[in-house]
Amino acid sequence: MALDTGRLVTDIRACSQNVAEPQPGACGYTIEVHLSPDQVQECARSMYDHGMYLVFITAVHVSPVPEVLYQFAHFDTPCRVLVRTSVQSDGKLPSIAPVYRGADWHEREIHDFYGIVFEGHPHLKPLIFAREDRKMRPLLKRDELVKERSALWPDETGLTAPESDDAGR
Amino acid sequence: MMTLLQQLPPECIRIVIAAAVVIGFVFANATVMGYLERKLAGRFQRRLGPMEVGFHGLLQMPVDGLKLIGKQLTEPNNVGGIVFYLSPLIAMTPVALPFLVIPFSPHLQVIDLDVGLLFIIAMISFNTIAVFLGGWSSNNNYSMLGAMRSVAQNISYEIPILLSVLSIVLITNSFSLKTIVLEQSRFWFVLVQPVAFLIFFIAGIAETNRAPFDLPEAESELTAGFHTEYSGIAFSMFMIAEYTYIFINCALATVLFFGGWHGIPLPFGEYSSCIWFLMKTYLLMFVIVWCRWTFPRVRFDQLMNFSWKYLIPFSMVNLLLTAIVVKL
Amino acid sequence: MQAGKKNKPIHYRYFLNMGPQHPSTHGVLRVVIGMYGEYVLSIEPIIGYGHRMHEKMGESRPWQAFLPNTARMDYACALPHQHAYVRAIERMTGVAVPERAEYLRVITTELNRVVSHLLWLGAFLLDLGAFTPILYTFDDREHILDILENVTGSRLTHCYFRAGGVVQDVDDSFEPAVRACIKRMRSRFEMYDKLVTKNIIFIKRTKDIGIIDRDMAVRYGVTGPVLRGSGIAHDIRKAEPYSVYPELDFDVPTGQNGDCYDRYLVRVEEMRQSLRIIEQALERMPGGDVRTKTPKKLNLPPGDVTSTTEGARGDVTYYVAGDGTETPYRLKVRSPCFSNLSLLEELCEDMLLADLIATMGSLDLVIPEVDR
Repeated sequence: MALDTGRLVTDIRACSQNVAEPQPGACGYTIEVHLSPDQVQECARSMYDHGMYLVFITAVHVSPVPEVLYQFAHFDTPCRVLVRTSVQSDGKLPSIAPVYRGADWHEREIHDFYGIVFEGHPHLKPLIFAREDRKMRPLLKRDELVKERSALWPDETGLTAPESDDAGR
Repeated sequence: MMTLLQQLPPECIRIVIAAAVVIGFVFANATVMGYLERKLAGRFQRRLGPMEVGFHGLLQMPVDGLKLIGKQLTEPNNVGGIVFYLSPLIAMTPVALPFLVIPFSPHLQVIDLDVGLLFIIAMISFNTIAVFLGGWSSNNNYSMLGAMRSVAQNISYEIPILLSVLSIVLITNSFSLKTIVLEQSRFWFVLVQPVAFLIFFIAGIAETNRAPFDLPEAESELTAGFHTEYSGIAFSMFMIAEYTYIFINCALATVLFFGGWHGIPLPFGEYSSCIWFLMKTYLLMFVIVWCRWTFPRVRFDQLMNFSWKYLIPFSMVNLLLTAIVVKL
Repeated sequence: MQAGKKNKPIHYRYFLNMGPQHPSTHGVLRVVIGMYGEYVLSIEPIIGYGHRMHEKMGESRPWQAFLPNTARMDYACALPHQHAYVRAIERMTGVAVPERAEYLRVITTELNRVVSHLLWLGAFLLDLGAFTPILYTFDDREHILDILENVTGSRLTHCYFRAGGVVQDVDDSFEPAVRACIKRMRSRFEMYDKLVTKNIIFIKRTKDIGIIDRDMAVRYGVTGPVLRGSGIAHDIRKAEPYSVYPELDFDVPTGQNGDCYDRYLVRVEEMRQSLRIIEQALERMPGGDVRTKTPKKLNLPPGDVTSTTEGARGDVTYYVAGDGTETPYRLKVRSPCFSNLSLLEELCEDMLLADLIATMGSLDLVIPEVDR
């Protein structure tokens, strides 16, 4: 059940045009794609149809809105896909738990650490923290330490973040 | 005082002394067997076992007993009243009674009841009630699980015991233990009834809740099973009862299958038959301890399957064959 | 198990709390089990009792200071975590690693894998009720831990790798000790085979229990021996090779059914393959330096990197985002046990309690790694 990488790239491009294929030796992943929040569930579904397994979901606190990263990989063919998306301006993001049930725990953890709310998640309650610490949000950085997105990812690969509908960066 | 003693019939004095000796023997056996188990467990696991207390740990068990007596008796909230304290007593009390009918040697048997065998098997089944009451009254889900498992297990495994013992009764035509031992003077019954012995032994291990059938007290699943909430002397009562039931099972196996006190005469004169009996019994107990530290635990439904689908049919077939052979 | 147990009236159900302290949750894990008799209707694992916020620690201090943390997450098999982190840093900064250091990394990692699987074996059998094998496996571990202690300085949380190589070279006693160890372990495997693999009680407790199929593995991101027990031959050392693994010859064992028994067989076979790898690496190890000198203050350039290694429990991935300073801007640790544990809720419906214990044991959980 090998992966057809060409078809995968085509399917990803159907979700979003912001796709790049960097050198895996340099950064560890073979395909990188930047989505807007409403394309997330569609992209997750096409990943699932290709048999990619969910490696991790994480978030990075950049200004103006945090960015959520998903990584998928395949069991039979070496291919790692990094999917980036910025959180919507109200701090919410559609959940991929209906497609990938393992995302359930990852998204609960991100909610604990960052406060990002995942819409469509079956039960978004604290995973790692106790009830009394649920508003702690430890991984959000203090205002003077938060950096701009361009400071972290100078867009060498030619990816541009899609136009977001909130106030400009 | 002496005139009072002289007025009592000698039989009465004999029974009173015998009962006292039997109770002492129960505690002594628990001590010895507890020590044996810990030392053997250590040796099977490539370690030494108790070595500190006394020479090679010989004083470990008495000291442990003293420690347990000194501990506080904890009573959790909402336990089932008097039953919580009654169940260790129910476990301990019937435990000494089977000793009254076991023939340790031709002269060392307190009473030779005509239904000695049935009496012992009836006393063994008190274990079930005690375990169940203990687990139920503890107000703890783990204990309740252990209690329910124990009831189902004990009921299922009593039947193979009864059926395999019946094969021996068919051969000897008597329930009296003295008669059964006397009938084995030429050859031991294990040679004639090996299947019955195996079934009896395995079912006996299951009856006394020993590994690999120790689900009611499964440590890694249920913390401590039915005796989770007991501490101090109550816990040690359950343990003494368990060790004593193991002794009774092995003693019964010796009497029924291994010739009781028969054996080549040893240089101890009159005591050699008693020594033979104790040696055979403790050899069987060694095998039980060996089994505990070797095998993993059987899952509960597999345990019930094993009894109902394998042991009971085999023992019934064995009984039938014995009946046919005896008739012919 | 008959379906439809969930339709029992609610007052028949009761909750059993396998609390944070329990003999067979491997670490502080709380599992609230809804039960009907002996059947498990639903479980809810509650984690977080061992949470120390390693990721925040990674973001608050220079990257060199995080090295001891990588060893503390999965303490049973710490070196793959170190390896992943150190490779991520090397990828970002372009530091080269001498070949001798790569071989030393591989040898110590494979020794660590054997040690971790031996610990798992003893603990798994202890959960099933066999009290003796754990002492035998711990005795075997002692021999290997002595070697690792000589090389890395610690018995469990090894902090041996650095960006650019390893901390120190091995001395002359290393190679004979490792060879003696390999010989001893090979003879012990025969004993384990006789005692455990062919034991009818063990087979009945673990065959056809906790079957994980490919679809479940995809949805939950299952990796490691748990995945290979289900027949999928996915091993990072072969799929995305790193270090000197491409030059070494070893097999990736797989199971067929995906039950607990297959996971056991896979892990035992993996130990044998690890011994093969160590032998080949000892043959081929060249001389030379073991560490490339890096400047005291080494900045991480802007950009992000993931690096993956094969840990004893699955695929360990580190994601590091740098911002031009010494301190990583974001450091994410993907622990395999986290993904493996999350499938327990779906897997355990309509199981017996004893089967749940066997399944949890076969997943090889180390809770500090789940909690980080």
